Amino acid sequence: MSEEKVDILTMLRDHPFMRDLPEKYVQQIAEFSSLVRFKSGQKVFSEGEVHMKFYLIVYSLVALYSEVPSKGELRFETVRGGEVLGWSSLVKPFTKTASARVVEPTLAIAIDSNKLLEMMERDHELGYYIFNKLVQIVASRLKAVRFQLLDIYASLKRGKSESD
Amino acid sequence: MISSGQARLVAREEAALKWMSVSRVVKETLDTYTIYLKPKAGERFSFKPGQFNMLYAFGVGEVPISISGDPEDRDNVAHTIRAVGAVTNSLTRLREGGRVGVRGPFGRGWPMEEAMGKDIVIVAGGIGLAPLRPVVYQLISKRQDYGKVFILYGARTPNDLLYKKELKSWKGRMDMDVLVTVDKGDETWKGNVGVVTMLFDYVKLDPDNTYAFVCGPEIMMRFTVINLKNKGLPDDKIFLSMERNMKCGIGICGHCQFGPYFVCKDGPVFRYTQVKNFFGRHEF
Amino acid sequence: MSGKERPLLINAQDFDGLLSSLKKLGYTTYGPTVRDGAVIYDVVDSANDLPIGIGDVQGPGSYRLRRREDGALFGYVVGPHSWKRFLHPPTVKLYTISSNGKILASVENANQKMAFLGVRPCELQAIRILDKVLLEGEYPDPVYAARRKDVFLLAVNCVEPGENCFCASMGTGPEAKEGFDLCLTELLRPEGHSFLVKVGTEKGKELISSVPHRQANDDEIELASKLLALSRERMKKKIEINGLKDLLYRNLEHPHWDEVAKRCLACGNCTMVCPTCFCTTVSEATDLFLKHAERWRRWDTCFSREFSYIHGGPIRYSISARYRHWLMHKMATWVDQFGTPGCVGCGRCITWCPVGIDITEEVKQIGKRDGEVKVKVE
Repeated sequence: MSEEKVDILTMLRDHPFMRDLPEKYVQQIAEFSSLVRFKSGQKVFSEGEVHMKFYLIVYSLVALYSEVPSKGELRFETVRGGEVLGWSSLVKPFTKTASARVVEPTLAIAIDSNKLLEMMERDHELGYYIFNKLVQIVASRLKAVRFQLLDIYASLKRGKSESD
Repeated sequence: MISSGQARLVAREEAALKWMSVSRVVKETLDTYTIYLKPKAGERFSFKPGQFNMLYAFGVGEVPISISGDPEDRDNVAHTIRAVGAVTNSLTRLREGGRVGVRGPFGRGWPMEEAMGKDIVIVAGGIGLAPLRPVVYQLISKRQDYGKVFILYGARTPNDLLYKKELKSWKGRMDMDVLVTVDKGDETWKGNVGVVTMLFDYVKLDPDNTYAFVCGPEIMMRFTVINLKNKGLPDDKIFLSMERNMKCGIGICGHCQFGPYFVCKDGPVFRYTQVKNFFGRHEF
Repeated sequence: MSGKERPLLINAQDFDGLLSSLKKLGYTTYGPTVRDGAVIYDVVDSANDLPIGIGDVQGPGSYRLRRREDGALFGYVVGPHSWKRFLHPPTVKLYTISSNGKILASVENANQKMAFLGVRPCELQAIRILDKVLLEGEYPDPVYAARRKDVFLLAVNCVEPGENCFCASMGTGPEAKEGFDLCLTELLRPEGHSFLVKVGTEKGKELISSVPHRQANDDEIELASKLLALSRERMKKKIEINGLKDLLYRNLEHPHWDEVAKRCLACGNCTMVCPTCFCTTVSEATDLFLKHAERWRRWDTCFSREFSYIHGGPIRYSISARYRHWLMHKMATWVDQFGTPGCVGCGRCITWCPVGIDITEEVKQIGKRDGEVKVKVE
């Protein structure tokens, strides 16, 4: 086994996303995973494209954003070490719903989503594990987005009060 | 039985209207300013973190504003004011030398003594950091009296963050964890993006030994309480600073009635157990 | 004063003597008088100013005076006024402030002495409640304190309940138990018009000794207590006070709040006539040259949208929430805040509600359907 493979195996085992996954699966997934280093400012993927990589972030910070005319990159979420990036590569239709830009130098494990999906298809126990984890992540982002939608800091209607 | 002769006429000193002059103005955001007031020569001003003053703009009116400065600096009384109405607009237009009428300090503040020896997590949203800044000053000056300190602060955008200089210096300290997030980032923002409760994922709280001080819009406090409870914090270690309409600041005008409390004199800081039956209830 | 002493008796024509003695002692005498078709409270100079031979007929949203067959001085119950207008006036100037920085706090005349004549038992309780709120808190209200300092309370028991009265169930009437200097029970007998007098304080004792009086005999004492027992029996409205606080606390989402809101105009009449509603707001008045500003305090009502306004909007934007806030305060949160309900059972809010919302009925509805929760229909 190459040195990098050993590293990946260790990092996979340590990553919260994989923590409860039986060792046999971790070893199989390591076979089609690689370490990637991103420089700050680097774009990981773009909204609308199909990008069949699922990233487990080891350290630092990546921002998800939408390009808004005349406003530039509107960043609405960040992911950091211990979190994942690119869940849409595991769910049809696989197109990205946002763009991702690295904010601080980042190390991530890139998993080949095609291979992972094949494996999940063959082995539903693994499929169940991965989707269960994914649903938790998507659900917590959904909650955060709802909270964000409330736009709580900006509920100002000027001119309604005579005195304050 | 109360016989008619028993009336107490003694008005307490803090209830009297007095003038202070503006010594410094710091623009925090597009519509929010921190105004430092100087008491009259020979007088000094003391307050407890979490208390507020009624500020009076001549000819316009009076508003409750929490005190946002260092409790140990008794010559400069800080108020962070967002221009949202006639009085606050008038107050934020004041410049050095301007005059402000002050009544206060009023209300119950944060449980600084009760929380001694414990870890403290401060959760602030938007301008909600203002009544918590005195807490941070006090924690820094009496650092050895408290355990771990976490500051979780969220604002709408990077431009809406208060006290940018202090945040930077607090972040630089080794003896507290300061995490900041914004709901919407831009290309220049190098920090977290997401709601303030997201920051709970990045800190490890000891639920048996932590006091939580929370201030922000009511919805933000609601979500924060849910997160704190998920983390295992008991209800009686969670403190919230409430906001209601106030006219008098001394518990006689009735405007800030909240359940069986007047926010002005029984609060503005409440233990969560005091208010949990009403907190977050629709239109209460 | 133990109150156990034998009551006294004075003749009705000596009531005037009480009034003039009070004036001699330096009191301004306030009492009931008829104006604009209602019994209101104002300065009275003699018994002739009282509504002699006048009664009232009240119902939800209705109030009429009627001529009685007798010459009773206190043959009506309560009108739109209450004593709070003298202790906690509708408008008060708090400060005059000059642009040169001079602050002049309005100082109430601390030596003013007021005598209230014909204070009903429920109103005595209302004054006790106002004392609790405005006098016994952390910051006594200087305006109230100055006015409350020397008040002579001449109470009158209610031998005839009004149609909207429910003081018996609130435990505040129809008989005054304490809190008065003197308490009268009006006796109209073929053999003469008189008052049975209970003395509550030394001040009261002094006053009564200034007019002809004698000890009441057993018949008179018995008649008075019979009249009061009858009055209690005849009182039609009531509120079940046992468990009321908890009932309301557990029914914050009851559909009846919305049902009341369909009728409620949010006019705030109930809060204006309520003898314990104490809320105020402050407004600023300046001259055209911005040389002087005055800060005025005036009664406010929790039924207005502005009342709960914080930047962004009112907390209680629906009428349903505002009615709930008011009733919850009167009957539940007041108990936890000040030790007693904020309601004394005087019935004014029922009489003066333009649509006849009846607090006793609304509470009953919630009790009948305890635990129901409103369903939001879009």
